[in-house]
Order: sequence, then structure tokens, then C-alpha cells
Amino acid sequence: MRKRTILLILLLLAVVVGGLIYRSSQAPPASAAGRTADLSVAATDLFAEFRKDEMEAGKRYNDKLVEVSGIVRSVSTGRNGKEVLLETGDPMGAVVCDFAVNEKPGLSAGDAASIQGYCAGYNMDVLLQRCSIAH
Amino acid sequence: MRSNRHALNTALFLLPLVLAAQDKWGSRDGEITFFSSTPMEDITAVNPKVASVFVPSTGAIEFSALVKAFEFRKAMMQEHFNEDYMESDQFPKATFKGKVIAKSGDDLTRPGAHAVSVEGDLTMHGVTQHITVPATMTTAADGGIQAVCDFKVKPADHGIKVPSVVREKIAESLDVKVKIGYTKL
Repeated sequence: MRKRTILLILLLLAVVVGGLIYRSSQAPPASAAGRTADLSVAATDLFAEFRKDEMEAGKRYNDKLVEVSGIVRSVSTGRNGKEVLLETGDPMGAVVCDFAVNEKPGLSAGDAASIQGYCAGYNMDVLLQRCSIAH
Repeated sequence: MRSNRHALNTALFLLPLVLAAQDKWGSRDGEITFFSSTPMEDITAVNPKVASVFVPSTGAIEFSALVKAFEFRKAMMQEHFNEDYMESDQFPKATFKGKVIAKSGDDLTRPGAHAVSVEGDLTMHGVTQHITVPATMTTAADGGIQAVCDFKVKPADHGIKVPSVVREKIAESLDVKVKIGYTKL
């Protein structure tokens, strides 16, 4: 009787753990909303660091949740949602903040903003993904 | 008189630069999508931030895509793609450098759809392969150019090893779709 109870508990545990593992394997990439940033930096400095040494800056920022502050250059609608470009002091490049679906930045060109997102690296612009407004 | 000559000299000096700039077309939000289809699982990823430059007069074309900018439906797929297969910390970009070859006598600046072939070096995961693929370039009446290209890539050709545990989930050959809207730079 006792053996059967233990077996039943083990089976139940296996189902719960298996369900949790399956659920986490199906989860979409996390949005930055409601999380605490790993690093904070000015948009001009972030861009300058990538321009100076892409690999070195990549080691520091890529995959991290980065809070970037700067002046909004433009706001447009991208593939996923709103896309906010922050000034870098270089007209050829920007910090591109790709907002997470359902996130509404409520920003306009010329506004001062603090945005957090996951850094994907530098390709003419520095790209932050799944962004939200930093609080 | 002296200042006029100076202005003329300056203009002549800058002319090649101006001409070169006029002929360049570019995009920062081109799209590359790839599909992997197996009986076990279908995988799709999109990179909507592909940078590209095209020079119609010479046919020169270049692409650059951040590997980490490929977006997957599931976080775990994205993680495996970057860490286990593409090793994106070590090889952060996939690039293409080549030439658009129009059919004899075809003028790509003429409005309409143009069947072309694109030939050049595709570098992924630090391994370069020379490829030739068919593409369509559509020139709008206002001069905008849309480029669309479908081709296949074998991960093994770029030194990407797929562990035997997941081999049945990842196709040997991936379908790649490139879609770029160019504007004049």
C-alpha cells in the first residue's frame, strides 16, 4: 500500500516536472517589460563603443538587457511593433529599439527617453530587441 | 576669379563622390526568412533588420545580417540556434558580397520585373561558399527597387554541425527567402 502511494507521488511529480519543462520549451523569447536591466548606458556611448570595437562591445552588451537613454530621432512601425530610433551623434547610425508586441512607447521625435531591450549587436545601427520603456 | 577656380576645382574633386553616391541604393530593414521542414518539426526564423547596398550601374550587391537578430517563435529554438549551431558570439554576422547579373540587354533601371541571377560569396559561421541563385528585381515607376530571392542553404556546407539527437528535427537543406526594398542613398 505504502509502496503504491510512493509510486503514485513519483508519477505525479514526473508529470508536473515534465509539464513545466515542456511549457518552458514552448515559451516565446522574453520581453524586457517588468525586468531589471543588467547594464545602463547613454545611446551615444553605446553606439561609439560598437563603432570602436564591435567584438569587444559585443562581449559586453550582446544578449544582455541594456537600459539606453537618449534623444528620440524617430518613431515608426516595424514588423513586430513600434520602432524607436535614438540619436547617436552620427547621422549614419542609430540605436534601434524594436519594441515588443503590445508595448506602446508613447514617444515622439525629440523626446528624452530611457528604453530597455536585449542587445543583438551592431550592423550599421546598434539593435535592441523586445524593448520596453525603462522605469 | 580665384575663388571661382577654387569652387570649380572643389566641384571636380567631389564629382566622382557625388556620382557614386547617386548610384547607390540601400536598405536597413531588409528581411531574410529561413524555413526548416521535417516530419518532426517545422522551424521558421525571420531577421527583419538586414542591411544591404546595391549599385545598379555595376551590379555590385552586399548584404549583412546580425545572426542574433533572427527571431524565432520559441525562446529555446533561438538559444540553440545562436549558441549551438551558428555560434553567434564568435561569428556575429552572415554576409553576402557579389554581383547582380541582368539578362543581356536588360536595363534594371527600367520600371518592371527583371529576372536576374545573383552570384557571389555567402559567409556564414565563418565559412564562405560561392553561390549563384536566381532572383527577381522589380523597379517601380518612382525608381524604388524590390529584390526577392529564394534559395537553399545546407548548414553542413558552412561547417554547422547538428547533433544526432536533434538531427531529425532540422532539415539537411534550409529554404531561405530574401526580400529587400531599396531606396536611393
